[in-house]
Amino acid sequence: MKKQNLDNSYSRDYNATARKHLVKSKVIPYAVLVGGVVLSILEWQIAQRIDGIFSEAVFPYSFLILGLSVTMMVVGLLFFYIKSYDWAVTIADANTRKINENMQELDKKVKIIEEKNRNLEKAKKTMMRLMQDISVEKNKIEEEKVKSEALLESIGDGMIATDKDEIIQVVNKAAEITLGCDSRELIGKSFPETITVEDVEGKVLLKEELPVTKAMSTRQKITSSLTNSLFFVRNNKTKFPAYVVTTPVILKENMSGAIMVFRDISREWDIDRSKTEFVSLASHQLRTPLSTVGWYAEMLLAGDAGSLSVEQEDYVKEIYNGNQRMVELVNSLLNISRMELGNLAIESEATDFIYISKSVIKEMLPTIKKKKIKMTEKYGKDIHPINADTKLVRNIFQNLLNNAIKYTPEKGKIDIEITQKDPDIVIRVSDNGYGIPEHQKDKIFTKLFRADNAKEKETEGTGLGLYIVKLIVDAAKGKIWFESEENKGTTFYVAIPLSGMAKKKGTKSLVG
Amino acid sequence: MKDEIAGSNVKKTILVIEDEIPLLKAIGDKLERSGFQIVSARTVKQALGMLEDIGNIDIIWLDHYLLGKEDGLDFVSEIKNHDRWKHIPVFVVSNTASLDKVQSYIRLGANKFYTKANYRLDKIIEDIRECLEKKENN
Repeated sequence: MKKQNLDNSYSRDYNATARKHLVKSKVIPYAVLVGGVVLSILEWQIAQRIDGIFSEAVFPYSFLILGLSVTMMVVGLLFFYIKSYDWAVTIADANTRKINENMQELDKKVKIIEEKNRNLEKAKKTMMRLMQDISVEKNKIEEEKVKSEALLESIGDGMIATDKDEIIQVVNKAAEITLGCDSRELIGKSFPETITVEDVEGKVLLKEELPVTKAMSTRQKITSSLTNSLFFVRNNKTKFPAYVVTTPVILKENMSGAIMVFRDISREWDIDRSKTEFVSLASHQLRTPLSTVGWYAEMLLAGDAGSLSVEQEDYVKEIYNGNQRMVELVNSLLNISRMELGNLAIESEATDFIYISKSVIKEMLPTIKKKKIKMTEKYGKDIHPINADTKLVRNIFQNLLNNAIKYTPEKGKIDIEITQKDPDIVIRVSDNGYGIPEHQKDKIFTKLFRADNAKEKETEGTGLGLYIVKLIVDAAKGKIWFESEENKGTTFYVAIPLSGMAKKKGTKSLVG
Repeated sequence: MKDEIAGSNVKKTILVIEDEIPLLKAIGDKLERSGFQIVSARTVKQALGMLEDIGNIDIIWLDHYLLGKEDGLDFVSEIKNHDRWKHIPVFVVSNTASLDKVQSYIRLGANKFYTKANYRLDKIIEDIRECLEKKENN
């Protein structure tokens, strides 16, 4: 298109200029030249015809005319060439100018194209780099995928993932091994229809009780516990206890499925059973000689083998007391091991705290009287029985009162108060005894800890009493705290929620 | 020989089933001093034999862990199946600590369960006497 235009304008201009110069360069000189020639011919003709009179008179005029015609011819010729030259130059100039202009246009266009080329090159380079980056990322993703798959396959716990309709999507290697089946038997199938789960008592779980279903319906993580394990039943009818954690998968508020991670805990069960058996056996083995020593000392002191001298009686008393301490220690250790293993059963029945308080005081009356301690009791009027484990509550009172008596000197003072401070029932035991040293207050609830002044003033003590009380209070979801000043006295507070202790299934109860 | 069972001139017979000899001796001595007549056994088999041979056992003192394969629970289930013996009060005195076992004994019909090391002999014997008195008065 542009080329054509160039031609057209070129020829158009050429025509205009040409016409102009045609007139100037061709017509005029021709006219002058022809005029000169005609004049000279005319002159020649006139000179031939005019003879005589006029020849001398006409001679200067004919010379003039001759001159004129020659001049005209020369001028015409000159004109012709100069103007022609001029015209050619002008035309050439115009052409050159035109060509230059066109060249400039072309240049501009070439520059634009070059620019565009450069941009394209740049774009191409960018694309190349992008392609490279994508390739690198793709490789990374591939690597990650391979890693993830490897991880999934190598984790020791079985994993089964389902979609929101409980259709199994993913089964990892550990799951295959633990369940003793191939993933192809499970993938694409409905979880409730393919996998059988039982509870501790051997009852098959209903669809809505299955971990995957529960996790999705409650939108919460469901965890089984050691004591409340779930049992998976394999295809070959064998079963195993499992630790199961099931998490719902929620994407942007929508239920997308569930992931169940499980582990065969047959070994943990065995260990737990052998631990329990060991504790049982150890306690039995320890208690037998303790009973022997205790009963024989008892009989000696009762005079069953004859009366004892004062010194003999003293010595046997020491034997008896030492034995009693060991019995207490074994009981405490047993209780602690039960609580820590989570085997402690918590009963829940209407428990009268005031009755227990009075009963425990009565139990300790001999020692209270012996140390001439002044006991006061204050019970709120609005205290009524709450659901709790009577034995555990009794243990709290026993430990707190026992400590108060032990760590208060003769003629000291002990208060017991029970009040209702919503939402709890609060027990307060205060004494004006040795107190707890400031720098040892943070250890008071730790296992086997006895403060320095306690150890100094009173050799008896296991360092387990408060540890046990704290375990009980924690199990009851209550609080325990104290105020104390060395050589001034101590006050312990225990708060138990009025809502009571939740009943807990366990295999053991407190002893002693 | 000071104590006599109130309301009766006949000494009560107690069957003590305990495998530890030193303990058996202590229990036996104390019971004798308290006015009981005692017979003892160390296995379930021996104990059942005693019941067979001796017509009138008034009360049974039973430990859980015994010599031989069978334990106290087996003994209790056995005697509860016999009309002759199922009414004899059973006091289980053992060092075993398991709640399951205690509950099993109670369920089978044992009267009381004591953790040996936690109780004085005289206290257990006092309870035994109380139990026999109650039985007497019924």
